Amino acid sequence: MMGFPTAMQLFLNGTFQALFLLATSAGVATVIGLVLTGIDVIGPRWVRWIIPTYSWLAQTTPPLILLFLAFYGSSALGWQVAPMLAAFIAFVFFSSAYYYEIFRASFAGIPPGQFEAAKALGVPSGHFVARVVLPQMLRIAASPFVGRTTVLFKETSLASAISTSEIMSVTNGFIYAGGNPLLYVAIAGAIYSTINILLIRLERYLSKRYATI
Amino acid sequence: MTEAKTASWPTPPAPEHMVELRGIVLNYHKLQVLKGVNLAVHKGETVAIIGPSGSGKTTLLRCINYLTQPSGGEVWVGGHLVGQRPVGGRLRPAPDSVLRRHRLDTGMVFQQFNLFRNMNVLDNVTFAPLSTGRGSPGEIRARALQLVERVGLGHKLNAFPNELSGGQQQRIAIARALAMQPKVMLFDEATSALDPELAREVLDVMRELAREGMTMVVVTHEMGFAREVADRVVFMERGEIALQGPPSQVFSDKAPDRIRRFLQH
Repeated sequence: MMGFPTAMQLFLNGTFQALFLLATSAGVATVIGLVLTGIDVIGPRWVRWIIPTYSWLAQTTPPLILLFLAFYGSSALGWQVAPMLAAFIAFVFFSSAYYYEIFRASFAGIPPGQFEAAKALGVPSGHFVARVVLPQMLRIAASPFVGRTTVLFKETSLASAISTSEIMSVTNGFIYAGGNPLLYVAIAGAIYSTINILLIRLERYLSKRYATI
Repeated sequence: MTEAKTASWPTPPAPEHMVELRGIVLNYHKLQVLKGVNLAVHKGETVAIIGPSGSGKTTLLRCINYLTQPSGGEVWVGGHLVGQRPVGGRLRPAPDSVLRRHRLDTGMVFQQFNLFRNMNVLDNVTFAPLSTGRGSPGEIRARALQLVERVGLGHKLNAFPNELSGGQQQRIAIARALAMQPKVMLFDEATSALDPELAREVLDVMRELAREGMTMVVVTHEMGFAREVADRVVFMERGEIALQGPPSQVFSDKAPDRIRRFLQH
């Protein structure tokens, strides 16, 4: 049995790793999701069928399989990819698709008359997107975006399968070493829910603050 | 060859014609929505376009600022050809950047108001002039304040569209269009989505605008407004102008039967 300080340190480290994976993959996937939305809206027709196809593929494949593909697949091809990097790649791959769907639906939710109004006023499209389209899109997207991000945070636990040292691998380690499974699973569960509750609180706060639309 | 070229070369309209439509045709699939419409609107004139639904009146209005691109014909506003420009001796559709400039001469008011929902009243009115550089920020702001005051909503500067009634939103939409200092104002059934009470406050603003000498093209179902305010009434039917003239003539007992029938509704 390990001492309490060491256990806490391991869990802290695991939490940090999970949050790091969440922040980096959610950050990059958000940007990709927005870019895909932009392409889908204004891009040439021949590009547009690629995006729904990718999105469908990324959302229907189990995340664990993507994780294995990124990790074992790359080493089978002769690249040595660190577990954390493999997890990052897999997470970006599927969460970009989810975020894209959220942004695309939010775009569709903008009352369309405003586009014509901007045209009739002669407003350059860049200004219009930056000042009208994006703010309204983000406002509509906020709640589903946070919802999906909390799911993504829970999904970081899957990365334990390729031996990253996030929360779930730490938990497994304790259980294999003979610790009380219920205790350690409860600790892991508490960490996930606490952080997700904070995320949801943050979204509620921001929504209230910018509730003008 | 040269002859054909000169013949097709457009000559600008008479200077007193603020808007001139020449042979506007619009085909939609196999349907001809507009069948070669000619219409001239004089400086300071208010023209009301009336007619049954599906007659093409809204479509014609939207051709004036090229929100709908006609399949054929020429649109002239303030002496400039809209939506087309000569390239190598022929008229070609103008690219968006040029079209944007063409649209600065026209202001438009929509049935559904279409205010920017994430902006308060002041930002709605100043956004377009600021982003197209129609004066210094100070001037634009001063002009916006004056316009909002003029439509009677000086106390609502910080309100967002969802905090305003339909009538108030439409008055702000008018102020927003005027902030670009257009030469012509286009109204597309501006009061159709409003209760009579709220419609009245919008019509009052429009009446005031007409009195001040703004050139206006008004697609409307408000026969009272057309009769009272318009200098000329244009009656459209099946993509053509069936009759036009001063209200006293269009609304008289001597007007053709089908117009009297339409007006009875």
